[in-house]
Amino acid sequence: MMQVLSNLMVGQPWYLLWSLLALFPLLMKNYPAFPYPSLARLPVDALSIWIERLWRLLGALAMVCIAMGLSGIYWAENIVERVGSGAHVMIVLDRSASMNDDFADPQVGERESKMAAARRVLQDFVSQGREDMLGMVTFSTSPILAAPLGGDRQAVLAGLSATEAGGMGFTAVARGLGMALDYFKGRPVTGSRVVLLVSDGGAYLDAKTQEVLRNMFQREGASLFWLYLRSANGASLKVAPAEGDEDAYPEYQLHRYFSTLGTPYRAYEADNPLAVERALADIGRLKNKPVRYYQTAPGRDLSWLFYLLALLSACGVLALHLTEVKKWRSA
Amino acid sequence: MPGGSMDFRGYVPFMQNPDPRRIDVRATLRSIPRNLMSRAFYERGAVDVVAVLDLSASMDFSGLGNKLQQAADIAASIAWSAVRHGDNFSLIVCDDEIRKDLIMPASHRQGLAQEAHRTVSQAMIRDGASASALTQAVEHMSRKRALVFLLSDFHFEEQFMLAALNSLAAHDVVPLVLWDSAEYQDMPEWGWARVRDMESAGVGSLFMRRSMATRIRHAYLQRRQQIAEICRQAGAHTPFFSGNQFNAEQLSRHLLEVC
Repeated sequence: MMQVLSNLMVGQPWYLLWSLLALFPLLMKNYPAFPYPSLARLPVDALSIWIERLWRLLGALAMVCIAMGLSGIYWAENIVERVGSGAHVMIVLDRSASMNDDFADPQVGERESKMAAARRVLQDFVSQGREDMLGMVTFSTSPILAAPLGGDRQAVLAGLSATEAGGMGFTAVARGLGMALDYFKGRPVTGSRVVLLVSDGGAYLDAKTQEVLRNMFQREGASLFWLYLRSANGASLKVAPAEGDEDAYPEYQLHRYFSTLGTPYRAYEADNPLAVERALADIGRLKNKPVRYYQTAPGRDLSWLFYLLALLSACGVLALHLTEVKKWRSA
Repeated sequence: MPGGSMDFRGYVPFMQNPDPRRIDVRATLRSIPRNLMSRAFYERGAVDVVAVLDLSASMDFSGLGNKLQQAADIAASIAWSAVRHGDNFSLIVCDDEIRKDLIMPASHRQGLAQEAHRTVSQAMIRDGASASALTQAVEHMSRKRALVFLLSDFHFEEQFMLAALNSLAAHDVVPLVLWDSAEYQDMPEWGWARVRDMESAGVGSLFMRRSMATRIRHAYLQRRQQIAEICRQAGAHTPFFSGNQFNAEQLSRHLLEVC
């Protein structure tokens, strides 16, 4: 109860002074009344006494409620602790121009660009009722934050819809990953942290960048899932290229580098839309320890409630007034 | 009361007026069963008639009638009747104190009735005044046994009513109760009314409805019996309850019955 009351906040407290007017109906004495020779002759009647009390109370209530309404009373925004069973997932989505291409193994009858397939499957993934905390970073030449890590799925979905504009530019994997990892920084580790990289190709990372990324992954304790959407001319991660040809296959090099991160890493190679769905379903099944996080509930305006109460009280007073005897005589 | 004057009152059984000189043979022969009858006469002369008027704030109530107006009518009627018989009439008006400005000393001069009417009907009733001086009214009367008409609405506490009547016990007291039918009968039938006590200035809430009207009527009926009971205890005559208007004939009949 006390907690409920402590969340009641008032916008303009000085308006509450108006509620002193409530004393007026409570203490009023000089209202018009019929002179009667002796009240001792009249029988004591509980109903009459309570009607008088009700009249005063309703008057006072109307005053107080109007004062409360004027003062702009509201529920303060309060921090709600929520327990989520799921992971903290940062989606890192490749928006480079190559994402507009088809899969390596297009199935007959359904040709779908990699971007469209990824978008469709990710939308399903995001819309699932799991209480994951989600965030999204898209990247091409440079990373763009689509949605910060949190429980707001609408923001992520909106970010996904925005990718319909089509991809462009190059594939700057390192910067995208770095930005995603930044959102884990300084947050309590209340669930396992996952970076979900969705891309169709790799990029060379120089030694310095590799070192920085490795440090970040280890510091934040985030595991990495790479959903590799293989292009028609893309290399498979499973097949090691011939000796001396490593430089021609940045994807394979990236795969090798991720394996050395020192945190859990899995790669899913998808060469058609179905494989994408399977991979995401796999990730979705991951059992994690419950996630504890705090959410800010927005403040709610309550003045309408008090205006309504004031209106009802005033109606009550009016109804009592209408029953009043206007003239002392028998009908 | 039996008297010795020449104002013939009627025939009464001999034992009520045991004066052999008054025996009437013809009346005796007419009586069935045969009874010795004698002639009775009004007492002539020195009867002091006093009207004691309660001028407390509650007498200001005007419902269907006006209590003060009615009191003026009654006082004038008593004065006229007294003067006609050569009796002394005096008027004593009380609220919190004896109202010296309104008092009329004993007299039987002509025009007394008009003067009494004017005095009472133009009397200023003071706000919130009670009738506490009623017990002092006797100090303004002669010691001789007098016929006292006590005009009041009798809205006092029982203790005070008994004290006031006891203070007048040396006299023949006829209580005249002035109640307006708007007090207990002709009330609003339904609705909420706030009422203010005319004397104590207290306020009350009254939600009028059928059961409430019944209860109020019942309360007044009980009050009526209570007043009669207290008058009986104090040795006064049976009280006369006037209606909204003064009816001289009813009062005369009442007086004939009780005196």
